[in-house]
This record gives sequence, C-alpha cells and structure tokens, in this order.
Amino acid sequence: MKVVYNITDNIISSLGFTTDENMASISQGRSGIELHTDEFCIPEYFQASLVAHEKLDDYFRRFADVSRYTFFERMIILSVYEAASRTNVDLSSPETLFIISTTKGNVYLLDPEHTHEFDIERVNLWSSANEIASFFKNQNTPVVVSQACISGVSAILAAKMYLESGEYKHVVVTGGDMLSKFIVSGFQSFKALSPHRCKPFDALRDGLSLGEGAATIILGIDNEDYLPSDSISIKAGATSNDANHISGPSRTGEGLYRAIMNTMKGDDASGLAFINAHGTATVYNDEMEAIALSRAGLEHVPVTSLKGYIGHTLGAAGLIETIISSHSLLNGQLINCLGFTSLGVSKNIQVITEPRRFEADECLKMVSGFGGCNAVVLLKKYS
Amino acid sequence: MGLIINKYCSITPHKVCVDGLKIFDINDQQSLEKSLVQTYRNLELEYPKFFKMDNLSKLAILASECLLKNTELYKIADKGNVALVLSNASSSLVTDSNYHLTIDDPKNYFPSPSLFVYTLPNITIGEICIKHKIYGENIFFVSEHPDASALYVYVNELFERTNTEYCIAGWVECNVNTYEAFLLLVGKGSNGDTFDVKTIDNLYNTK
Repeated sequence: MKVVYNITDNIISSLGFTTDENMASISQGRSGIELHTDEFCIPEYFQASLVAHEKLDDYFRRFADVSRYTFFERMIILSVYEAASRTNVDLSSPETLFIISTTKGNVYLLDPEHTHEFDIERVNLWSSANEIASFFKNQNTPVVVSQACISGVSAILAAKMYLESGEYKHVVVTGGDMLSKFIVSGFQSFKALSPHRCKPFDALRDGLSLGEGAATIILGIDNEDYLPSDSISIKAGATSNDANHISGPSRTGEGLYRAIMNTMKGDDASGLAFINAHGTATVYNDEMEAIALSRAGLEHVPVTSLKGYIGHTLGAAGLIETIISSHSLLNGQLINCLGFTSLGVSKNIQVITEPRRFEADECLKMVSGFGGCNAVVLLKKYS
Repeated sequence: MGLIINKYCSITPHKVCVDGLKIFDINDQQSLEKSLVQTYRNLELEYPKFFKMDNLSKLAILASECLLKNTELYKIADKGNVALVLSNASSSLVTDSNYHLTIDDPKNYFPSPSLFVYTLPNITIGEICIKHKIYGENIFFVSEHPDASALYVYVNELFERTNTEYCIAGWVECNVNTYEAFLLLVGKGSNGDTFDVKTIDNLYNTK
C-alpha cells in the first residue's frame, strides 16, 4: 500500500529556527511567550510569542536579498530552504507542488505605515505565494489554503490528496503567519487574549496567547515496505464544520467529533499514544475539545497542547504542531501541557503534566477555528 | 459510475443564472450592496442573518441558495456527506481594508469585532454550512484565477477517499469593483455533464 510520509521538516518560531531547536526548547520546558507593551502601535499590552526578526534576517541574508521579501515571506522561504537543505528533493521539478497555508499573509501592508514598502498587489495571498514558489524556481501554480486556524492541517490533508492522485511526487507544505496590528487588535476586540501566558485546559484559563512562525513539511509518497526507517506517515484525516456559529465553538463539539470519527473510521484508539489538541486556552475552545473527545470515546488518551510554548501561531499552528507531534512519536516521549495545573473542563480528559515514555506508534493532531471549521490528522510511525 | 455536474449557477452584479439559463436580471447601476439585496429579494430568501454579513458571505449564501434550492439535498436535515470546496482571488480583502480603517487612526482606535470576524475567507463556508446544515469535508483555496485543474484533482480525490456523496465546488470572489460567484453541485452518476476540467472551464466561460 502506498503511504504519504514526511521526508523532512522545519519549524521557525520564537523557540528556534529548526525543528531540533524547537524540540530541544520544548523538552526544557521553555516558553517563547513574553509580555509586549509597545509593539505594533497597539495601546494595550499583550502576551505573544514573536520570532526574532533581526536574527532571522541574519540567516536570510546568507542566501537571499532581505529587501525583496516581506517578513512573512522571509520566514517561509527560510523554513523551506532549511528543510530542503537536508534532502535531495528537487523543489524546481514539475512533479513538486507547493501548498502554502496562511490566514492573513501580508495583511500588514494595508497599514498606512507599511503600504509603501511593497507593491500593494503583494497583499494578495496568491501573489505572495507566487514569490515564494518562484524563489525555489518551481513552475507550478502554488496552491494556497486559507482556512483560519485549521489552515495548516487542511494544507497537509490537501497535500495527501494531491500526492495520492498521482499528479505529483513531492509536495512542499509550508505556511505561516506574522503578527501585526491587524491581527493583535482583532483578537483583542474579541477579548480573546489572556493577560497572562495562556493556560490550556486549566481551571484558571482566561484566553489565548498569540504567536508567529512558519513551518515546512516536505511530503513524499511510497510503498509502505520501502519507507526509510523511523518515518512518519500521514495515515488519515478529515475536516468538518460545526454548522453552528461563525465565531463561537460548538457547545456539542459537533464538527470536531465528526472529524475525529471520520479520521478513525472505526479503528479503536489502542494505537494512540497521545492527542495533540488545539488547546488555545480560551474557555470555550478547550471545553468544546473535551466534549468532542469524550463523545469520541477518547477521554482516556493522554492529551496535550503546545500553545503554552509558542502561542497560537494561526496559519502555522497546524503545521508546527503536526511536526512537533511527529517528532514526539519518533522519540517516544510525551510532551507536557505547559501552563496547565488543574483540570478546568467538564470531561475527565487526561492532560499530560509530565514528560513520560510511551510505546504506541500513532497520534492525533486536532485543530479548530473561526468559521466553525475543524480538522484532524492521524500520524503513524513506521519503525 | 463517474462524477457529474448535477447543477450549476452563477451570480454577478448583472444577472443570476442557473444551469446556464438566466433566471433574472439585476440592475447594475446600483451599489454592490444593493444588488446583493436585490438578488436576496428576487430569490425570495427569508434569512435575517444575511443582513449582518459582509458582501463576500452574502454572495456565498445567495449562490448556495441558487444551487441547492429545489434539489433533493435541500430537504435533507443533516448533510454529513456534502463537501464544500470554495476558492477566490481576493480572500477577504475588502473586509480586511474596512477593518483596518477602525485601527488606522490612534485618536480614533476602535477595532471592530463584527468586522474582524469576516476577515477570513472561510467564513463563507461557515455561513453556508450553518444555513444548510452541511458537515462534510471543507476547504478554502486562494488563486489568482479560477483553477479548474486544481479543483478537479482535489474534488475527485474527495469522492475517492472520503465519505463525500455530493460536493459544492467553485468560486466566490468579491472585490471593491465587482463580485462573481460560480458554483457547481458535483455528485455521483451518469446522467449529466461529466465533471472534468474541460467542462468546468466551458461552463465558467459561457456562464
């Protein structure tokens, strides 16, 4: 049987510019979320996980011209560049497709402070995506997925479809989001931001912490007997809408429950080592996820959220968190849910409080977002 | 059994067409907002939430109504096997710009939550799912032009590998000057236009 598998990956976040740097920081319990009092000309302070701009540009300058790309594009290009440096996949091949996941791309160019910096056409996601694919001399029209906070997982599932169709040999799934006045003020207007570092699933949770970043997964397809040892495959996945409310999570977890069930397709949960939840630390999101897990019979599976480490990285979240989950599967170590102390949801889910070993070889990654959308992906380790 | 196009529709500021036939003209000398409301009235839609939406979501609701009305799907209460694959060029750019006006001026800084929630293109999918109780696979793509071959490959795979029985697929674009919706209802069967790249392009170009 042919399976879609991860050839290599990269994460750019406040915790580092490679997957290894991010994994190392997480295993040390480090959080990149900090208080920002004078950022983006926003009157209120906020907690967020920001990428080190100057350091990123120092890396970027080694292989490309900083002035030709927006910060959003620089993060993604660096991410793809770093990932690709560890494989011999030909990014310029007609058999390689770029899929780019983002919620807001270059929206900061609408700010009168920044409008003059680039041709305003670059505010279009397709235009920015063309710049990214062209940098790697890829001639195919890049596919852009923009689906709120599920964009990253949706993009991975779309990549699986395009690979299984036989049209492409490799798909570079990349994406990201940069924070700006637009995004921070919008979440503040929703009263969705916590004044503290976020506390997923905790009794005292009171909102999310934003984050920025980019990530890349280069996917290939091959017969399962021929996979390199220690490969992670994208075994299954599904999306579903709550059909309930455009900004509030469903009270019954309807869409997420259906996405889980359509992903598991009747498989029992005995192979699941853990579930990496969305866990934004808003009151309603975390409760909704607990309800969906309970309805799906998964209350007993260890669950974690990575938002306490890197914040909610929006269009990058699904990618970054899938990559971290993959590496957690490979190293056999659960990641504790940073910021969590005591259970604050109505179902008895098993939130991970200490990093311990496991043996199982599968995990679920879940995301949910504005527009009532939900996505789930099932990862499997091949030893 | 292959995939067929059960029905298709298009909406522009000038006219509304179903299966290539014009069902009514719209006065194109009025604002985009007014022509969307005129379309709403002509379709005899009663859905007060419509008036809270931005133009892009209004357009999506109108197009989904044209497409699904009088079909067998319309009456099914729980549409768990209906997928939605939408795309456009401008994402939510008009609403993004309107939202930005609420934060541009430091002396008049009032970020609007009711605008912010519409600054995502996939809100159109959410609105259609709420209106029609659709729970199937869903995704939003952004491309410079309608991309029939990317759409074809993706939708084909959805039918091949997921629980999808029907798929609403197409283009919902709204910018400052104009708007355009073009939606297909794709299903399994043999009686109807074949769902392939050439047919999608033909129907779009002659809409």
